[in-house]
Amino acid sequence: MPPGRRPANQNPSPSPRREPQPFATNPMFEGERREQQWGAQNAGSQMMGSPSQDTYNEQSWTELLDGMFGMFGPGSGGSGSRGGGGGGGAVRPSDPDPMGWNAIAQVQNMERGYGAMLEALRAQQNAQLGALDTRRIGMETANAASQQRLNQILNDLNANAAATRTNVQGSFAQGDQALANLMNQYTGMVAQRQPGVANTIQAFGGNPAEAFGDQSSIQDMITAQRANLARVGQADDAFYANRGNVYGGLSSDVSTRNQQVFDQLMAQLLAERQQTESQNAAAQAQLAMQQQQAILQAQAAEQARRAGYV
Amino acid sequence: MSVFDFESRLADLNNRYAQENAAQEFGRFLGQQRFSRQRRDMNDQFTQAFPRRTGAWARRLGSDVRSGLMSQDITDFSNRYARQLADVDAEQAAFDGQFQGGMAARQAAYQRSLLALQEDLARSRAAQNPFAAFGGA
Repeated sequence: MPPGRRPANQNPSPSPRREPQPFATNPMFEGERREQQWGAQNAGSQMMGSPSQDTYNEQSWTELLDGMFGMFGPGSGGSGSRGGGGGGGAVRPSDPDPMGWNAIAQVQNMERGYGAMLEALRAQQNAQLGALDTRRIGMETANAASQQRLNQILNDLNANAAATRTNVQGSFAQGDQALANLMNQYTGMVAQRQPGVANTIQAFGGNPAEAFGDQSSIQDMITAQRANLARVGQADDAFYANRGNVYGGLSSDVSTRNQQVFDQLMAQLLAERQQTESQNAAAQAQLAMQQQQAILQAQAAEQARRAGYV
Repeated sequence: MSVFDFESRLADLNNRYAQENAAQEFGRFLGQQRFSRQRRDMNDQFTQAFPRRTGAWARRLGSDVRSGLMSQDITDFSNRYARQLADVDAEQAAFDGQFQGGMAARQAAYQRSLLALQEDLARSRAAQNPFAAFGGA
């Protein structure tokens, strides 16, 4: 704070109520009036120059300052009571901030600033941890969805195998029925033809039994075809009946592999989280240490400043 | 295997199955035509040859005379015709039996191929890494 200014928290207590007087003659505004006058006289000059060169109604600015804040500092004697001017180094000025309000305000500002920095740091760290949590939730959701999806695939496979088994059984049953119909058709055809041929042969005195050869060979052939078809059908049926075990093994393998990947990723995520938390704690500790150092520096500066005053 | 590949391979399987069925059905139709024509020809030959043979015996022996040679000749002639018909019947029965058995086997093979295709698709779906978005290997 410039030495020529009055601290905001050191305003003199308000005077008792008086009748308003013109600015130029009101003693309440004497200080302001003289300050304006001094400012007009020193327009363009450096306010913080040497005390011996800056004058304010024939007083050095340190004397003026001493006079302005004399009411609060030790050895105060009112405005202009320590007049005399001349050698600035010979007399130590009184402390314009004897209670250390500026330092207190500085520390408070510092604490507010560090508090804001800590909040920002925490927000950033919480965002990082939130991202890790989101990842974990996503992985858990994916794991559950994967298991559900695997179950669905397994159910579809079993349903497909059951439907195929039924269809194949139907195909072989249909083939067997077709062969049985064929045998009946053949037997009926022979039976229909036999009487006519037999009558003809008998009409000429022959033996009709010789005319029809070995009928059983056809029936044996068709019977063999039916038996072969039944064997193939049974083998296929056993194949489809066992598909459930095959699918169960496949599902178990996939489930185990997925679980391994999931566990590995979760362990990785946990390590990342621990590392992030450790880094966060270190960053917060560093910030706290910086704050402490800054406060200590401010306090040391305040002590040094006070040492320069009476 | 992607769903697109599955659909493509399923279409191929269905096409092959349909074409094979059509070829087998056509072969069966041609076989039945052949057996029918063969029977008709045999029947025509018999119905034309039988009167000529009995007429020849009548001219040789007289219309009311029957001999053992004539009876044997007519019996042999009729038996040959009957046996040839029985052979054609057996051949057609074997042909039809083969067709029916083959059709059942083709249907079963088609069903098995279809299931294998579905299994391939399911295996591909199950093999997909559910944690790829999270860097899972």
